[in-house]
Amino acid sequence: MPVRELIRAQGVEIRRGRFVLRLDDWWLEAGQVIGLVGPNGAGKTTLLEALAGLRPIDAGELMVLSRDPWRDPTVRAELGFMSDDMPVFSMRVGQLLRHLSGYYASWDAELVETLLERFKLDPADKVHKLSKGQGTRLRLITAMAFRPRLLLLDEPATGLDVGGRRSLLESVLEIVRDPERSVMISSHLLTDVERVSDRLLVVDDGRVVQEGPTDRLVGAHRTLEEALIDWGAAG
Amino acid sequence: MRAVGSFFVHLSLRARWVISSPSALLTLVVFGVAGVFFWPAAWAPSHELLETPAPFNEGWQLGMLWVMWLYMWPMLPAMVCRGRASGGGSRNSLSTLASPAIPVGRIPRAVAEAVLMIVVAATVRAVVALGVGDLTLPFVFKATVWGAALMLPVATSYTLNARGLNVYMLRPLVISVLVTAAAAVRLTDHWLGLIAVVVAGCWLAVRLVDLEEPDLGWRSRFLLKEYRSRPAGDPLVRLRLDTWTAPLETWGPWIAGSATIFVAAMLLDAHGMLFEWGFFAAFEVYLIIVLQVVFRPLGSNLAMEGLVGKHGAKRGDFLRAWSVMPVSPHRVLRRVWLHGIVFGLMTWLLPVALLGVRSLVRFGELGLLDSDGDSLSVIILPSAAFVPMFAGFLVAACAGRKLETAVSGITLVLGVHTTLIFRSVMQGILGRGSLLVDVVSLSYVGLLLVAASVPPLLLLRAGAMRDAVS
Repeated sequence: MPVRELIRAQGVEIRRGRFVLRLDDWWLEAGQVIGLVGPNGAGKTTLLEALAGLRPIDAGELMVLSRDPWRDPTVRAELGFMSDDMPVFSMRVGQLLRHLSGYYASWDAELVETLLERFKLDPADKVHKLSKGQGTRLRLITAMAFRPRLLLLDEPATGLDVGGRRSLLESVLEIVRDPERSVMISSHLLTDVERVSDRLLVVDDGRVVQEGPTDRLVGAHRTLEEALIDWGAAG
Repeated sequence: MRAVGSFFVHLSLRARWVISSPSALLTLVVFGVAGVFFWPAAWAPSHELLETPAPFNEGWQLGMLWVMWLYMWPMLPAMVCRGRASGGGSRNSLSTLASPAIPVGRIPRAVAEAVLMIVVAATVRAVVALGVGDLTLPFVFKATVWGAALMLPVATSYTLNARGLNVYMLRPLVISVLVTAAAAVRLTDHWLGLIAVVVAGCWLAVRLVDLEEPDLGWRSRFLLKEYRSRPAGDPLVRLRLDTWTAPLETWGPWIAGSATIFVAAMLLDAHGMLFEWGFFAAFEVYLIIVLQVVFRPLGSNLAMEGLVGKHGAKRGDFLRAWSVMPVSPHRVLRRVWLHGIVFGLMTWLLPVALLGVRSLVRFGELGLLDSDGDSLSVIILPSAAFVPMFAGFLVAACAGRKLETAVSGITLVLGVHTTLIFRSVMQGILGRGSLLVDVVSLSYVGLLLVAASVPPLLLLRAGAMRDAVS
């Protein structure tokens, strides 16, 4: 077993109606960016929610940062989760960040200043008046502000313009400069995923169809999009 | 003509929905049946409808009750049957509309929603009133149409979304007061005057939705020139602290101000230095302001936004927003329940205490007496049951549980509006002064209390929120 593993899944099954997501034996080491790709309805969001402790598993064992994320909410003190439809409290941006800062011992006020500048958000703005893209930027800041050891991003580029996407990728790469931290990113923007991911986890219809280093899986002579088509996981 | 056509398009669409929706239909039937006793008309203790229902004819207290009923009562069908007639904001005007693609403007939509619910309820009321009483058809027809017409502007204002709960609640209050004033000066006695008041009321209800919500968080606006963090510790300790501090951050000074005015009004009134209904007006101001905190557990209004569809907020967004934080959902809900109990009690206790002190100073007797020295205990004391009922409603709304929210909300509204009527009916059946009246009336309140407050308590158990969060 690797020493620095952040996630460990063994025989995991998650049911959602008739849909079943299975993850037989899989782990994630620290210091990596892993891209989670697959067609709509493949189970990407289900997996990320289970990893964040927002959804229970039905069978097997799932350990995140050596804890059961569903039973132990303290894991979220070191785990950032961002999804494009995750609601945020309706207050001013600065008030929201101040409110959240009280719940995370590792909250980094300096980093927040940097991220606010990078993502061009004004602390005095009201959250409910932000555009879709600005809302996404704010959610990214709230997920990264406490320097989580594991950052789970579900469609983080939704609504982001070119500048926003560049800032996002820049932030992701900055995070994994720290060898103790990892990022798991699910996105349909395959070029972005391909650019930043060290490894890929390809899921389709609740099954893992490919898993391994991005370079090896995709190869030198095709893109990730072409690879997904070859694997029959393009939807 | 186009607006009229749009009105009927929306009316027919919504009528089909109401007929096919058991919960909406049941609510309207209950609303209509209850309307036999509870309709915009001065209410007599003998539970008979008065022929000339001009408010304040029977005294200012009945007038105040009249306003409260006109204001609160249409909320019940509006909350259940409202089809999100208008977004009302700059961003959410499309996303929150029912069937946004159909070419119907928001004014025809809003009025059609209100007309539909009022017509269904009025029909039920008229049929029941004719069936159970010895009232004549012309009398029932006149009273039903008169009350339905006056309710229409208030119901219209409830069908329109607003930018915040306070605006959502204030708009119908403004309309209710204006409609009451028109009825009090007998503008509505003639059918032409009635039509004029209804049209003006509906027009105003639609116009008022465009008003920007007043930004009262001036302190935070000035303090937020720059971002600041706060000390972090154990998330559970922080959650406990935030239960008390977060709701008061913006509204604390406003509550203190209104409470001071309320206390001053009590002192003036106790010494006979205040105009007749000044004490109750101060109470209304206090109530409106304190409700801003009561509806914001942990300082967030996401729960109520989810109910009124503001900014696309959805049912359960409150708990989902907390779900990514390092605290368990059931612990958050427990704090929400505690918030409902404590701030609900605060809302209830201060007026009761002040009324007691006023009675002592003015009449030399520690009791809950009105300006004429009559006891209000029978009205006020059972209303303490509304506190746990409200806490239950808040928990269900925050958790995003549709059934529990509907049951708690409807039961709470029924409790607020029908407790006195029920007691009056029991007095009619069992005789005044009978001990059985008190027992049965208290049992009725107890039943409502259990129905509203117990099911949400089950959500406070660890692990109970599996579905809502995921």
